[in-house]
Amino acid sequence: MNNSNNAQLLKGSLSVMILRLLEDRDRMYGYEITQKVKELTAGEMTITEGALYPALHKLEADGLLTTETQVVEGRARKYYSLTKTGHTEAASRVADLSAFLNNLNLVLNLKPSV
Amino acid sequence: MALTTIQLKTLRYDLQELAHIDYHDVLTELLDHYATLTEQKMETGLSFEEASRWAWAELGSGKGLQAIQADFVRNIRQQIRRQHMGVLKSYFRWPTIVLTALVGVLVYLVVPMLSDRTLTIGLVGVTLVPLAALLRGYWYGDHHRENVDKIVWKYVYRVGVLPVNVFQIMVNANFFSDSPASARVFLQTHTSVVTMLSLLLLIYAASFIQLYQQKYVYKHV
Repeated sequence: MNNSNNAQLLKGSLSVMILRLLEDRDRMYGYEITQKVKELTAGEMTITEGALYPALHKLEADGLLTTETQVVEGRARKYYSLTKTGHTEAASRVADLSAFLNNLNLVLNLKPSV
Repeated sequence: MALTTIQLKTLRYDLQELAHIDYHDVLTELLDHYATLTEQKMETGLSFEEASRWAWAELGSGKGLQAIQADFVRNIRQQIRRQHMGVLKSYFRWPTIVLTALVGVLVYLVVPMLSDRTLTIGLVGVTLVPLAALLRGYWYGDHHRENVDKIVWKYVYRVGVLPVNVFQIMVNANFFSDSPASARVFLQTHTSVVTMLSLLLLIYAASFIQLYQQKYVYKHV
């Protein structure tokens, strides 16, 4: 997939992806999130740090994520996890995006009219 | 492959000196990311220097890292502004407004009974109280705190210190520069209004004290 197209498509759905990943795992740190996305999409989709951290910070500021810092291998590591509101919001946003993608699919798979 | 303390210091140096990452919270997070990327590349056989160079580029180099920090600062500023509006709204309720008006009426009735000297001292005192409240913030904000608190202090300076000082100059200049006769008229006819305005200003200054005490999401040092 073209990288700039990929980035454009990713922009609107990045926060939902983060919420979904954290719904699945108790807590994750920045690098781990980028790697998980890469792994799940077999390298087709990459999240840049410049997009990831602002998205994480925004979700945290909105009260959907909470953080804890732990020292790992001599350095501090910041872990993100969902707050109670974050859990509710994650379910709702994932459902919304899923419904949107289904509708988008219907349009994209339009059969040529005879 | 865990990095050594010296290698971590090198990466920290890059972030601080080449990308000018000043905020501890951002630095901590980016250092971990930078170190993890470097370690991952070192596992493929690259030396520390080569791996860190690759990781640096992967992070977006100085420009990309600065953009992350700029976003962090913008985010915190928004939170402070939102928080401050919330604090101010919580003050401006009917009991506060009625109480302020009653104090104004009381001052209006008491003023004719006081001497000019007492009034002048009292008025200067009242107008200086908000500044004293802000000075406390200045002391803690500029000398004792760092990181997110610096952003709070800059916000307070911009929206607090300047308006308070301008107000004081306006109030005090009237009777410091005028003749004693006009100063007397000013003090006796306008003291109640000035006192009410000072009380409002005091509430405004108090909102900053409350703001200093707020916890912001990135504050975990």
